[in-house]
Amino acid sequence: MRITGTTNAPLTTNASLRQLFVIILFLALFSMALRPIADPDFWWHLRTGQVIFETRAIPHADPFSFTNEGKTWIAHEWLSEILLYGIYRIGGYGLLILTFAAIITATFLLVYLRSAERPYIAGFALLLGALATAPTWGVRPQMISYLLFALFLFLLDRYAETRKTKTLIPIPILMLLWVNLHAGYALGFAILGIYIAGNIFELIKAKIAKTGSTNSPILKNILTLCGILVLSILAALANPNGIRLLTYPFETLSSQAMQQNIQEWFSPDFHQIEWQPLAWLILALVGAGLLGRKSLSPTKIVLALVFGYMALRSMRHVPLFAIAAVPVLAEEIGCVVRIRPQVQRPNRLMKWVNLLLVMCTVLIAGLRFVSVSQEQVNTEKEEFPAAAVDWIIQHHPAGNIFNTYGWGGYLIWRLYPEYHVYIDGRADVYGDTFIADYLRIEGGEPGWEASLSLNGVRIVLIEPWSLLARDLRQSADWEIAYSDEQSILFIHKK
Amino acid sequence: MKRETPSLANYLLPRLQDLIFVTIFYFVLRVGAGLFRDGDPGRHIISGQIILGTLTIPSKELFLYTAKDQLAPPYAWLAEVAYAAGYKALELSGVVLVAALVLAVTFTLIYHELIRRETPRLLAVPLTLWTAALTAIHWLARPHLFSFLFMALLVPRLARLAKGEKVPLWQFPLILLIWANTHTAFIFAFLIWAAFIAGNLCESIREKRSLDNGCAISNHNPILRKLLISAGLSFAATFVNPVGWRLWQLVLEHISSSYLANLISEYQSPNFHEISGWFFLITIVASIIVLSFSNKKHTAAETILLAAWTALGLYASRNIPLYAAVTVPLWAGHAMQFLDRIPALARVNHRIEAIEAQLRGRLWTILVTLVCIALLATGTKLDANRQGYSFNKVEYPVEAVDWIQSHPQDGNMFNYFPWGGYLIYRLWPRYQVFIDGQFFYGETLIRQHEEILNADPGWEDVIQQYDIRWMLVPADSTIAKVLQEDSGWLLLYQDQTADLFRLR
Repeated sequence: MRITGTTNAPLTTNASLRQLFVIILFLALFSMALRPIADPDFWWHLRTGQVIFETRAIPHADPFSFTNEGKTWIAHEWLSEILLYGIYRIGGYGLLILTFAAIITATFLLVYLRSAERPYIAGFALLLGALATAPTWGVRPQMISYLLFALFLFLLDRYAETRKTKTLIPIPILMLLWVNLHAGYALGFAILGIYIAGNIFELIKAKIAKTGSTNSPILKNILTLCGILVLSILAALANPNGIRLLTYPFETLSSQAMQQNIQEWFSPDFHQIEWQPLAWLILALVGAGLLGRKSLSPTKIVLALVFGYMALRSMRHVPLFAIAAVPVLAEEIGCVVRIRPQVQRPNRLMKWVNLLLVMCTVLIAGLRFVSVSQEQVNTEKEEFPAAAVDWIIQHHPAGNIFNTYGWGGYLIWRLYPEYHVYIDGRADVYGDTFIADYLRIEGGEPGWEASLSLNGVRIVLIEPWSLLARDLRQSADWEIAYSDEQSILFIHKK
Repeated sequence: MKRETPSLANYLLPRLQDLIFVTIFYFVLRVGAGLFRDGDPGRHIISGQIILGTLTIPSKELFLYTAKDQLAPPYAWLAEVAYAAGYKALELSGVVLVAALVLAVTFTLIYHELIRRETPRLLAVPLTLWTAALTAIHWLARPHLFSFLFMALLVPRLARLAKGEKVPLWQFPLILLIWANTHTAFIFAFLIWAAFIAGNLCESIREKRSLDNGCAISNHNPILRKLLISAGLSFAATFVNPVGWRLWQLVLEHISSSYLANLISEYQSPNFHEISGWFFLITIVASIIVLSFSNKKHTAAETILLAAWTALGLYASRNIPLYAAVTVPLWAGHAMQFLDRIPALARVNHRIEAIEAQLRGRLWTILVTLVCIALLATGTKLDANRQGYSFNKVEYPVEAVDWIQSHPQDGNMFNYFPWGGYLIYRLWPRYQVFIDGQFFYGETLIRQHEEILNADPGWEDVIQQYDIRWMLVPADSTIAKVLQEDSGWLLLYQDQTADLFRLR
């Protein structure tokens, strides 16, 4: 195979090699997506799923914390949580890891299908996009949101190509699902808005160019997309929280406490090796765009820019950018480098070699799955206070627990309903003021004793290196009941 | 043909470039107090005073007892002399004046470059001001302001050279000679050269003009040859500094330290939740949109420069001002074609150009500069709050230092590193500091500083190692909290900014 500029001689490749490349690419992606469960929120999602499953009711008030018990809680991911718990009941953590790896792979398969210059250039762009998003992968409802985001774009791109209205029919139905799976459903409206804006831009361009005869199909597209948007908004109302859920995503986005204290809402730090692929993706887009000078549709440019902005603002939005931008990158690179296939029939030996390669990749994926499944126990011990919780279960100390924010979900899974938590990853339930108070206590700022006492806290489970731990060690009122490298457990003496 | 004699009005009316100069100059004087929101200006002023006073350039550490007599490259001695000269004349007002002149000249040069690249004047003015706003995050009375100026001098010359225009080659080593003695960011100049050389090679390959070997390329590609010669001469010129080759060694060691890069806020990636991040983001988006829709040819060097500087800006927010100075002129010239599509605006632009062509005056630039200098010299406060220029009492231990001056302390001090420069400014030579913001003394001392500040295990060992007798630390720091409860330490002074503890 040879890669040349557009004017050079054709390349030699063959269909079987192309298929092999695609199969290995997606098996590799699947293997990459297999990873132990380390998301702090996973645990309360699982417990919520169990509560819904057992009570046959969706909670509308906080059942897990003693600090905000009974306060309104919008369980916007209730369907995902049932799904998580259902899969867990059937196949434990292993099946959850497999399922979410499949969801991530399916997301990128949709991105690949939207991309031009398949398989090699699209494959390269896809790999870059996947590497850029890899730090956000995990067993979490957000992955389902990414899949639906990719599916919306796939359907809308199809419609832009074929102009067949039936392509859009699944969108309101998908919205009905999305709104009950994750609050990211609002992205669906954003995408539809961008496609409508893109068509309006085309219409204006056509008007300026005075090509009146071509206006009619564009106008029809705009009306069709507007109709789908209205239907989608109506579909989004079909959720347990009704119209209230429509404002929920914007409340999250405007929460100062979440934006300033929760890491995944921070801008990506390009000093970290894990975010370097995002920088490469941006540079590749800029470089290939300028060198290739491909005339892209305004919709694609706006998609890349809007989600590019979101990615630079918050690392949790990087996947949205990758999903939107990978097809653009593939198209741009295709203008700079061209690979011309020449179909050859593979001989018998090559067929066997290809089969062997695929089997090897499947084997590697299988081995990775086994390794990740076995790693799960250690991950739990390394990321969460597993041994300290064992101690609590064994000794049943009395009183309320003050816990680290990131461990609240794990405590809910392990200790609820016997113990309720002080705080957990549901920042929207607690609100900015409460989170600020929590940070003051965790930072050992003056008045922490009074705050703990006021809430009836007799147990403190925190990181050994925290400032509060330092103060508690020096306090005559508290004693260490348990400690290890991961956590330290204090019990009030009186 | 009879040449028209310019009227008096032609000399009296300001040109747009004069307005740019005056606007930036006066604006910096208005916001001048903000130039001291960093402690380092204090150290630079004192260093410059030593050089002016002794007429020698010290290359060993004078201010830190922890790094006494270690090699301290005078990497910014020329800038320090400039600031010290300003300080000698008008104290901190003089420092602000120097900074205002440097910035005003820089943005006037950037405006010139925009015009040279055929940016319509209607856009060149707001774009110059936008570029200034983008760099404002790093407007501090420190030597790096001179790097903006040198970048604005270098890039247009290199761009012209790369286009085959005649540029005297001696200008390049001269710029680099001064730059290398003014600020460490001179190393970025070679990144610019690399981009133009790579761009030239790409264009050569693209146009099938490249020959079989490198020697042949250099013989048949006069532009490449000039680029290489100018780079070589300039590289050699950077060795003409008080510490010779060791300047490169120290600068490279400094920028390759990942610990420092992660510790110092200005080395961190931009935060797009903040307004400064927005400015950067909007500029990236504008550059991509303008170049994507432009029918005008852009060179491979421009593409490489834009991509590389976008990456540098994303990597560290302190690179954003240089990103702005380098990249805005690259894409602004492509905007003319968009203006041409709006006839009314194009007509206004042509009218402005016609008026500009008749104007001859430099009066306003000179007049405003002289009037401001005269006002500052007579003690008039030109800053927005009419308080005069000073280090901020909330950020810096201004009152604590007043107290130290009336209650002298014996023995070695420990200080919070951002305050080091300010303490040198106020207390040197009576006191030497533990650390300041220069970082050329290596990671170990910074790690030890962090150890004490955060009261990490082993902090008492560091106290013993350096025989520290008193500490001046932020009131809200962990160590302040620990020392308040430690009977071995006595709280001597406390205000909202700083606590001063003494070992019993």
